[in-house]
Amino acid sequence: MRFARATTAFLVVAGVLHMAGPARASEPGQCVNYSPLGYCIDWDVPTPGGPPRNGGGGQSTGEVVCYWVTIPDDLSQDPTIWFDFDLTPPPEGVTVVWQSWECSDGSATFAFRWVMPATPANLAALARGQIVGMMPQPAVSSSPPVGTASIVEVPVFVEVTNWTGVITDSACAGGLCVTVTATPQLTFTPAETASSPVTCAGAGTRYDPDGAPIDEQASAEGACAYAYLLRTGVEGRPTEWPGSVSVTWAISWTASTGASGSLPAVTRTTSLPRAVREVQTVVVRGETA
Amino acid sequence: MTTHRVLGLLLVVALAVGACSGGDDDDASPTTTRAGSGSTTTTTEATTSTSTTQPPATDTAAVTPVLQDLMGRYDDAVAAILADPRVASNRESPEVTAYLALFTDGSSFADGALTNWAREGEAGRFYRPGPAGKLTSSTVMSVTPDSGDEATFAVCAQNSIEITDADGNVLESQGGQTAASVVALRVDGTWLLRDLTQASASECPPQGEDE
Repeated sequence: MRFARATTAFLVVAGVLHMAGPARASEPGQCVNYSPLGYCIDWDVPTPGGPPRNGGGGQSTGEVVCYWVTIPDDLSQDPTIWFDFDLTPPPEGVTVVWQSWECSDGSATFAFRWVMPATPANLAALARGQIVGMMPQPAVSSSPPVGTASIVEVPVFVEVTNWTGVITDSACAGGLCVTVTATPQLTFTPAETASSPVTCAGAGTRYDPDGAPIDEQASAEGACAYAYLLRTGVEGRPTEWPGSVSVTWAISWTASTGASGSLPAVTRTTSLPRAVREVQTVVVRGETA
Repeated sequence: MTTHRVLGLLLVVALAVGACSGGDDDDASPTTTRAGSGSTTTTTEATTSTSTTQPPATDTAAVTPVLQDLMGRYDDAVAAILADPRVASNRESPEVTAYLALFTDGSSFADGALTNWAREGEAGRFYRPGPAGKLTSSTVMSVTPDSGDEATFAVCAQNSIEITDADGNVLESQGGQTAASVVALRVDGTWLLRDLTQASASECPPQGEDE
């Protein structure tokens, strides 16, 4: 009886040992390639021909291998792709390559990515995105000051106080660099009936009370000035002329390969409405009153 | 004679098993209380000391939430490193320390991953969450016990990744589901990662299906 119980106990112990031994996952080899999430993609198995390691991937083990495969479809055309797969749309003006995650066992996969090839046009679009962030809304100073009515036929001067001048930036990848240049142009649009926009030089014009006569300053080449001719607030006219000041940056790029091109311009506009009053002058005995 | 030899062998085997089984699910006599996180608090009456022992792999129902918690911390640690992979070259950084704490001591696997991330940092590639708001979110799908102290389990990872340059320009966006086969070891009663291997997502539920 005692011998039988001992034999039974032995068999149980032997069974436990068997389960704990050969079924145990073998020690891993050396991982030679990792995914961004820290998963091993390729294992360097130290004993070729030996049993594959438990869970080990990579071609050397003959197990399932997964990889990104370029697909011909432009998934950007599918408006649901961003939401369904938690993807971010690529930057404006960039050409991307779409890839799907596929595994050698042919199982269905549910992962996509887009990657941006390092072409001059793509790098230019990236650099453009960088400098667009440096383009401020125009901060306007004027004479008479903003919010103050001007007088018929007396020039209004306009200046941008946060003028950027020419902006340049570069983007590089894969040994290729692209430099993008943005050149600003200031325009003052009085928006008075029948008026034309004024193309200004540089940051505009500040009126100098100690300088040349006002009309002379206003008529100088590139001056950012305009003399309203029509008073506001009378029948058929608004209480203010809905003027504005715009800065438009023309953008061009040059690659280190010598290639060059242009990119869509960027315009920032600040409104500058202006009420216009008329001053009546009465001449009394040769003096003004 | 034969009987004595068998009994002698049994004694040797029994002693060997006893010596090797410490910390496993077969701890004798102590009272056991299961904690909410899936860990098991064990009080040994003989010494009146308290230690925490997490459940064995053979108790898959109990060990699964423990491994899920481990993978949750893995996701957070990886996201912290990838935000600026250059930190991977500084083994004293809090991000690296948190990552290494998830692995067995001196893990060459973890060391290799850090080297790989450091190269990403040198290449000027930075990772941040995409529209989903989290870089990666792992779900433990199935646990296969290799022994009480070793488990292999499948993980499905829901990813939403933006890869940017140093200026924050998005160079690449990844989204969807990937999978891994993970091996974990229970060391001194605590589950730690041994390695993670990219795998087929065949065990993962279809995109958009409730888990």
